[in-house]
Amino acid sequence: MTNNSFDLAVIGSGPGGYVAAIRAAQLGLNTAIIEKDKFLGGTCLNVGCIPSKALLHSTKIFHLVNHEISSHGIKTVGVSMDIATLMQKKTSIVDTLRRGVEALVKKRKISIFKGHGKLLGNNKIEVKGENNSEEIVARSIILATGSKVAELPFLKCDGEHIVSSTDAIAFDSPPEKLIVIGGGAIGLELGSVWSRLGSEVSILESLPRIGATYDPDITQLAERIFKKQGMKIETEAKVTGVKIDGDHSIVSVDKKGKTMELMANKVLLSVGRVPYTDKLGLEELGVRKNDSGHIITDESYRTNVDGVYAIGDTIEGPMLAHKAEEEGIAAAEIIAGKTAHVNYKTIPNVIYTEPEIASVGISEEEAKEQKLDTCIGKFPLTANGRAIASGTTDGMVKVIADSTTDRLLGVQVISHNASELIAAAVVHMEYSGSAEDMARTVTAHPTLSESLKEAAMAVNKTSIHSF
Amino acid sequence: MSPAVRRLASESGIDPTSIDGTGKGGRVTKEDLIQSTQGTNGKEQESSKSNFISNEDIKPPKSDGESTPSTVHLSTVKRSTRKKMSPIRKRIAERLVDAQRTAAILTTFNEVDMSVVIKLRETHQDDFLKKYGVKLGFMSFFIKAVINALSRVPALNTQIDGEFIIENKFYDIGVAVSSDKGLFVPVIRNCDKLSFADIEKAIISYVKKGRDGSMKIEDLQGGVFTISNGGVYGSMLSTPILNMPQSGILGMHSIQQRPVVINNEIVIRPMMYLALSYDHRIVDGREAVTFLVNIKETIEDTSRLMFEI
Repeated sequence: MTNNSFDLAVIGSGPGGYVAAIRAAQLGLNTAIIEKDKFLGGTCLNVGCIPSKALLHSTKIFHLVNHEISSHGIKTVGVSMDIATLMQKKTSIVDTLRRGVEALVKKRKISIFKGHGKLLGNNKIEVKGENNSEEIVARSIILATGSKVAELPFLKCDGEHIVSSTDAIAFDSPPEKLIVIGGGAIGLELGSVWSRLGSEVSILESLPRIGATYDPDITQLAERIFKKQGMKIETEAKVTGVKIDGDHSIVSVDKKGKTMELMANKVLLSVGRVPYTDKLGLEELGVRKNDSGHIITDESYRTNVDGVYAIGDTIEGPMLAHKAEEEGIAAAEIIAGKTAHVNYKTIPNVIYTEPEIASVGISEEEAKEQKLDTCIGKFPLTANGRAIASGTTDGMVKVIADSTTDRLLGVQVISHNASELIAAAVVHMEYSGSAEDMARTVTAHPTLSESLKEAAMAVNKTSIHSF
Repeated sequence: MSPAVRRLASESGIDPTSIDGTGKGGRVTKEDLIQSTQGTNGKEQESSKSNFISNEDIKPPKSDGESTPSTVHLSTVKRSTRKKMSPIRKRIAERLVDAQRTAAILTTFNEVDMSVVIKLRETHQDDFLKKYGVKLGFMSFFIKAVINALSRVPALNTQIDGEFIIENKFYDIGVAVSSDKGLFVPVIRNCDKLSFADIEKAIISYVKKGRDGSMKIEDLQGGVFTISNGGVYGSMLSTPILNMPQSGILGMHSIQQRPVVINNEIVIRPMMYLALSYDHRIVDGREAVTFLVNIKETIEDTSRLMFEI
């Protein structure tokens, strides 16, 4: 069985797993990928980041046509949305990327095993397909099995009334009333999609603000903008129960001691995700996990079991595709005998609403908790020429720097294309840059990026285009 | 180099290549540059900028074909480094400058024939070591001689405190001890009541504390007079700086065989130059010279200690 023996087997082919496999193959390791789903790419490509971005893009166009296009002098009659075509477009985008990933993996001569992988110990993995089962042997194993939707003790997804993000990217028509439990990235993004398509969307967030990892000035602005777009947002609203009544649900909410009952045709449960490590054989093998179910590893992604590594959503840290990718590369390099390191201080975070919300580093609040003396620079998009010219003045940029050394501690952006703007801030921070470095770096005019530069200037009160 | 580093470097005159960078790939960041200049607050920092050494002076000369600045960075060997002053070094610097700024420091010199002390050490070393477990050194002789002189010339045991003069009636003597962590002047308390062996033991215990970094602030406070022995490093002659607020400091130097005239004959004797720096504001020249001569006489005839003369 020589062809079932590998240097490295990666269980899971999401952004962590397939990237780890490719990097390992580049470094000369004979590598296998084990994937239980039909397609490679994991949650991100198949039911997460990519399809939701496809829907966000399409529905943004629809929203522009409905609400803004006439101010540009473009006249339209009888605009409507064909949901089936919309979903087809989404599927074809996902298909393109599936083919892309598969081509990349095959090009690197990585063996793909379709089936559920289970650790048997002694470097052996059982791969159980639909009809067959085989065993492979690998000197090293990376667990990259990702995460699944978190549920509430009293609320489980049924795919019909109570749905997960996987269902909510595939409704065949906009639900009349959609209640979103959880005002994080997934809830806000999918809430936006269906709100633009005509659903009456209510976001219920138990914390005092949506997008709670961002600073309050950013989230307050976001809340105002999203409300203006038509979404209802209730903060400090704790869901206490859901009753299903025929074709709709009644959601009981406790808001600061007051009880409300809200009717919904669909309830989207988006309160977060939890590591997905079911039936992996971890318990039998004694792979250690922490209280939240994350696999415990050292800095080199080694679990307590020899030769078994874990990356991405299965371990601690933000559940982000790009975090998993970086860890995948690092783990592969470490297994190949190199040294590698992931800089967790510069992992960007994005909510792909319109405007987008993006951040890197620590927030002003976190800086205060860490007792750091900071200087804050802010710049509103209303003072940016490009934003005015393209009707995207909703937003602001906030730069948090150390008041003594001027070192960048964090950047928060709410603006059109914030996901792209944040990249410049990440690079500055990766190179331990200061606010002054960002302020003295030339940006093209007119661009939204100038607002990043201006906010950096504002740290030292030298902004040219704001007071 | 990042734009902020370029700006700060050209304004401050600091050569970023002289700093160990903490950024990616060893790059020097603005933070590194700021921290390398820290220790002075904003305003002082501004005014001290002109004092930065111009690194043009220490860069390798550029040949004709290499006029671009980047050629400087090609050199992998650092011609100079730049490190923050340690807190101890900063304190030493402040105190020395303070002394020179405050006191009217004058130094008087003399020389001393060490034959007697050397002979005493040779004669009694073995018994002394056996009994006390420490060697009989030169320092205990000089501390005893200093106390003897202080009791003859109390002006050297005084301190200025504003408009008042404090005359101390105790003999806590500071002894300069060098370690790799810096120069310390720990104080040996009540030396007038200590035996030679007690003094030698106290010195050894302070040397150990200096070496392992366990010296305490109390160990360094409250001395009335200081003895500094530059002779251990081979110094022939020096002018010590006062350890404020003390009024006197004795500098010991190396012992050398020198021709001297004794009874109209040139003979070879182990000689040491002595230097006494004193605060001329409260110590008169007569007092200072008398004090130093007394020390000289005591060392040359240690029986004077017995009679307290």
